[in-house]
Amino acid sequence: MKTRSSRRIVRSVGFILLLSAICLISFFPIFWIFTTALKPPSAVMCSPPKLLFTPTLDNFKVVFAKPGLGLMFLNSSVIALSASLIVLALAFPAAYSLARFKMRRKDDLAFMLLSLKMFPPVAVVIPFYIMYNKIGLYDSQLGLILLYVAVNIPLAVWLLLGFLKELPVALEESALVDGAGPVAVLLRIVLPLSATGLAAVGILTFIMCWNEFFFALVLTGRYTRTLPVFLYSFMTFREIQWGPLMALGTMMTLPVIVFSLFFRKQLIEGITLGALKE
Amino acid sequence: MNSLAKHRYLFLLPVLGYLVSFVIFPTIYTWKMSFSTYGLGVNKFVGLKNYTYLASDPTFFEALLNTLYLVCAAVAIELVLGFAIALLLNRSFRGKSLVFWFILLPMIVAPVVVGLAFRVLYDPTLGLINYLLELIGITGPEWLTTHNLAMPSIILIDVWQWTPFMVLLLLAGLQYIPKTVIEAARVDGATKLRLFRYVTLPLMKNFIVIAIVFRAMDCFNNTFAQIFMTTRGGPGHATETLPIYAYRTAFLFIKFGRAAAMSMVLFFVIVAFVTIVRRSSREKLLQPI
Repeated sequence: MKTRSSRRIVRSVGFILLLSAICLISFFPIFWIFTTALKPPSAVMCSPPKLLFTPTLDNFKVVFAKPGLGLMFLNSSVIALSASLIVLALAFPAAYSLARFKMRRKDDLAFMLLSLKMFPPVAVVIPFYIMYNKIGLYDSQLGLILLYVAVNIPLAVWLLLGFLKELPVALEESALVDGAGPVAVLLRIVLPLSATGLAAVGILTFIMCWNEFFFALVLTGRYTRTLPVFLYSFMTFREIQWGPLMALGTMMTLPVIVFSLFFRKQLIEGITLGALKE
Repeated sequence: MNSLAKHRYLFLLPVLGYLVSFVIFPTIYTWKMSFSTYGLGVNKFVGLKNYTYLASDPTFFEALLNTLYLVCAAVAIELVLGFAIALLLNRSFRGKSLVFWFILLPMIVAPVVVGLAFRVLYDPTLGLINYLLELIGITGPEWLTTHNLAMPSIILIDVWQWTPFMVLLLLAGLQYIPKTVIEAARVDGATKLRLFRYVTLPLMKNFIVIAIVFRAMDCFNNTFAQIFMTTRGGPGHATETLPIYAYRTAFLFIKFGRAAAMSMVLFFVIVAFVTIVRRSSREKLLQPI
C-alpha cells in the first residue's frame, strides 16, 4: 500500500511540474516583452540578461513621443470595433437561419464557408490594392473594415451556429404559440439568450482585426496605419530601438490579454466547440 | 410554423453576397490577372507567360518547397505535441481554467509581436536562448541568419504559437469519446499503449483530420507576419514562402500578373493538400460506435 501511495504522490508532482512547464513556455515570450519594456535602456539588450532592475517607463515615453501614435491607436480601435460589429450583424441572422431551418445541402454550405480560409490573402489583396487606388479607398479606414469583415465572417457564422444549436428551441416555440411575431422572438428571445456567444465571437473578431498585419501593410499608407504596421515600420530604422519596440508591443498585447482573462471560457468554447459542432 | 422559415435563404443572402464580392470575385479577378502583364499602366493579355516564367524561376521553386516544408513540419510537430498535451490535460484537476487561459495566450498575441519577441530571444549575442545554452556549455548558433537553421527557427515560432490550437481542438475531441468504451477496454485488460493505439486514436480520427486541415490552411496563408518580422525571407531565400515572394513580386517589383500567377499556384497547392488529407482519412474511416 505504501509504495502505491508514494507512487501516486510522485505522479501528481510530475503532473504539476509538467503543467507548470507548459504554462511557463506558453507565457514566457509574452512575459519577456512586458518586462523588457520596463527595463531601463541600458538593460534592454545585454548579456547576461538582467533579471533585477528598477522598472522605468522610459521606453513608453519614447513611444508616446512618436508623432501619430494616438492616430494609430484610434485607427486600430475604430477599424477593429466597426469590423466586429458588422460581422456580428451579418453573421447572426445567417447562423440563426442555418441553425433552425431545414435547408438543402446545409452541411456543404457550412463547409464551404470555412473552406474560404483556403483563399490566400495575397490572392485577394492584389485586386483590392488596384481597385482601392482607383476609387480612393486606399489608405482609408473603410477600405480595411470592408476586407476585415470578409475575412472574419466565415468563422463567426460557424461559431455562432454552434452556440445557436445549443439553445433550446422550446422557448422560441412557446413564444410563437403565445402569439409573438417571429421577428420579436428573434430579437427578444434568441438575441438575449445568445449574448455570450455574440460576445465571444465579437471579442475574437476584434482581436483578429486588432492583430492583423498583412492587409494593413498593403492597403494603408500614412493616414490609416494600424498598430501592427506601426510596429513593423519601427523596425526598419537602421538602429533598432528594442526598448520602445517592446513598449509598443506591450501596449498592443495588454488589452487583448485582459480581455481574454475575463472571457477565457467563452473564447475557448468558441474556438473548440464552435469549430467542431457540425 | 415559424414564418421566418419562409425567408430562410434571405438571412443567408447578405453573408453570401458579401463573401462572393469580397473573397470569391477578387480571387477570380486575380485568376484572370495571372494571364496578363499587369504593372504600372500596362494591362495586356499574355496567355501562360507568367506561368512559364514561374516554371523557370528557381526562387519560385525554392519558395514553394519552403512553404511545404514549413506547413508539413509545423503542423506535424503541433499535432504530436498538441495530442500529448491534450491527453495530459484530459482529466479533472484544480485550476484547469487557469491552465487553459495560459494555453490560450499565444494564439491571441499579434503575430507581429510574436515575431518581435522571438527575434529578441533568438538574438545570437544578446538573446536569452543562447545565454541559456551558454550556461550549459553550448555556444548557440545564429538562429535566424544561418541558412539551414532559419526555417526551423520559424517553425519553432509557429509551434509555440499554434500548438495550443491543436491542444484545445483535440481536447474537445477527447471529451466526445464515451467513458464506457475506455472502461470496457480497460476491463478487458488493454494496456495504456494499446488503449491509445486501438481505441483513442481511431475514435479521434475525424478530429485529427479537422485539426490538420484547419491548421494547415492557416499555416499556408498566415505565417506572413512572423517571417516578415524576423527574417523577411532571408538569409538568401531560406525562409521565403509563397506569400512572402508573391507580396514582394507584387508590391516591391510591381509585377502584379506574375504575383497573381504565384498566388493562384498557392491556392491550388492548398486545395490539393486539403483534398488529400480529407480523402486519405475518409477511406479508412471507422464505423462510429
